[in-house]
Amino acid sequence: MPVPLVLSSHWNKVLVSNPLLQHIIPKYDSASGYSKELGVYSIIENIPVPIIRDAIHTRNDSKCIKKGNSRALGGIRKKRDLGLMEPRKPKVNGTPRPFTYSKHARNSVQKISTVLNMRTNASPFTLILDDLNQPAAPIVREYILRGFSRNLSVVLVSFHRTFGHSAMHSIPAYGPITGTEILSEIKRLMDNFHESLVIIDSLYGLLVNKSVDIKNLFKLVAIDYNSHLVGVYHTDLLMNQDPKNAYAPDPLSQVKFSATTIMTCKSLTQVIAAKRARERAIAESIHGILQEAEGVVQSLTAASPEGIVLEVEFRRRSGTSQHETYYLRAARKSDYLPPLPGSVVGTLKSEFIVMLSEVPEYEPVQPRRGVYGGDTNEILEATFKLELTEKQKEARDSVVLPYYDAQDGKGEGGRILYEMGTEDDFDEEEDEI
Amino acid sequence: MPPESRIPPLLQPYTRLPKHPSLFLLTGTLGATANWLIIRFLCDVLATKNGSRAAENDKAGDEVGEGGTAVVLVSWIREYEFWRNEARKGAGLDLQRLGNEKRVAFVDGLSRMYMPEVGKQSITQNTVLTTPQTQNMVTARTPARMTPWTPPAPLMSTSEAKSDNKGYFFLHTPDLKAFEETVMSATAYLESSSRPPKSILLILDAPDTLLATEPGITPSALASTILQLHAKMLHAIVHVSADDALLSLSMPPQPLEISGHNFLVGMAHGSKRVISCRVLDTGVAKDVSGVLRITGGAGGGFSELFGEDEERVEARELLYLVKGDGSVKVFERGAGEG
Repeated sequence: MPVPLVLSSHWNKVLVSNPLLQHIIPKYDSASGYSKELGVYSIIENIPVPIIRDAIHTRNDSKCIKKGNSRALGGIRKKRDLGLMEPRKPKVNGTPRPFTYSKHARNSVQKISTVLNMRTNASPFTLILDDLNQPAAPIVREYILRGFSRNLSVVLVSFHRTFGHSAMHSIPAYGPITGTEILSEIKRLMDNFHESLVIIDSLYGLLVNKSVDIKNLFKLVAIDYNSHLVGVYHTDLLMNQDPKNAYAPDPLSQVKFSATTIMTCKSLTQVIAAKRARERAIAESIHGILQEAEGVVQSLTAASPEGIVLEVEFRRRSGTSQHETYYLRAARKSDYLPPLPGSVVGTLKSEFIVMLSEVPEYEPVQPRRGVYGGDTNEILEATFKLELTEKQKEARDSVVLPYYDAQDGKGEGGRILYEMGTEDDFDEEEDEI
Repeated sequence: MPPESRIPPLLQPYTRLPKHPSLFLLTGTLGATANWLIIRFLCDVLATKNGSRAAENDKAGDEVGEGGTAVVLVSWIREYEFWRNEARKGAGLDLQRLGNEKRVAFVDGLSRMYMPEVGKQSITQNTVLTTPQTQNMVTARTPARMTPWTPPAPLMSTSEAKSDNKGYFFLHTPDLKAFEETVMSATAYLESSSRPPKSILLILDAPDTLLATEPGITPSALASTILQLHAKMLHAIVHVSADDALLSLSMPPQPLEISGHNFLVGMAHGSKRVISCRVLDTGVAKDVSGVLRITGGAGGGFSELFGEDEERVEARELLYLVKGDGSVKVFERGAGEG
């Protein structure tokens, strides 16, 4: 076990040089059970080795604590050559992540961009989870814009909106239309186009009220027509348990299971407030219906028109997933080129979705903080000094505290260790008693 | 006092109907109903007499020579007399005259609901039966600050009301199909005017009572009917109660709670503006009737693709005071009468 040996030689020097430390560090007998179990003393019996937990673990924490070390988990025990240990690379799932933040951000934005721009096979079925605190309208609008800009045919299966853009194909699903009719209508509208974008503005309505099977819809849109399916699910709608089918999974689990990308909509104001609360270790406030006060339907901080926070889960075919949080501001006309004749929206000039951590309101650019909360490169403004000069340190080290003086064997019981100074005025009459 | 000035200045941007088709959701609680707010909407729409406001609206490029906006008011828990009084008191509007002018149609979902089918001869008897019951309901739902409704001295029987007042319709069953047909015939009545209205505003007062009285009606079916009607008209305002008792789930959850919750949340997801009234959080105050919260809702069509939606309102909270004479004061927090 090389670790204690290294420690021992190192600590030997320390022990010899510093009587203070010698005292602080307990003798073997008084060492805690924990350190005895580590077996350190059995190797280096003769030296009163200090056991400080940190000291053992600090060299390489991650190597000392083995994860999954139980044999019950199976597998074989591996031997490892301790001498050749190198700093372990950060463990990643799937493809290795880039090392610098800027590369990582670039990569992530690239990733969401392929999904939003509906590149082939990027995400056949995108599920958007929203509630009244942040409705999905901004992201759906963005999808419609990008669908138009790529000249896709946009089909909106509408459960809430009675009026839509004229270039969109709206299916008024709020009406008496049945689920089968909706599917055949979607099919009819997709028939004339190579690639379409089908948006469902309430999957709850489609799956629960119209009893459409998500499998059939997915097969129709993504497989048969090689198009893109975007579905919005309002998570604040409650499920009514069907007594005949009590063990079936609820529609939310079904769509979560089959989605290739899941976006959760959050309000920027609320996300920032939650972050501030976390930083100060206070409870995060809750918003919305039944949360604030009786009679409140929507939070005041809900649905800021400037933009929307998206927590996105990308799912790879391998089964691994990656989570990122983005901020999507509302699109402006200047983000898109002027439309060509025959199209509604021109192509996108450049990607404007950013990582949430790049939003200045979320992560204000702050000077680095020192240990005491002050700026490291600034001198602490106070009427006293916290630092010690070398001379002061020496003086402090040379002080022998009274407790140690009593420990070195020549203690004589209750003796007062006090030496009279010149300024002391001994009053005999008073101290006689 | 001209009717327009009955709307407090702070409230005016929110009672103005937008150009685009819109669905508004008003919510109230038992202690703070939104009746007065519905009256303010009526006031905003009906006070336009092709006068100053109409000219103002015309600059948006409307057709010339057309009437303004007409209203179909459907009420399930309050009867015509209540609305007539409130409109007269609060907004200076004469609903009866406006009904004759084919600018307002009233659909009564209360007086004859669940009554056995009656022939013409037994109508008077019917009236005697219904009147005391409705009176009680009305007083119970009126905000505490308002003087209780007193029936007018010559109590008008419903049969008279029907013959005198044109544009007065009844719902006999809670059936949604019948509801839709009645509203459509009310619309047809308004459109038979010599100057057909440009657009029709549909106001539904407490459609959520249907969920409670008729277990067969699902929230989605009700919402679907409302949206179908909305698609035929331009604007719709739905007033729903948002009391915790109706929405929060008990253990085990009751079907009515789930229905009420889903209906309210579903309507909020579809509406462009949500205006909710509630009692003051800090208790009862003499000079405040309640808190008004205006939020953007979740809906709004995608008719405009870029986010330059100037009709979008900033979320804000205001306080309001409904006075005994029916007038309303709306003010910011801390800016009350003192």
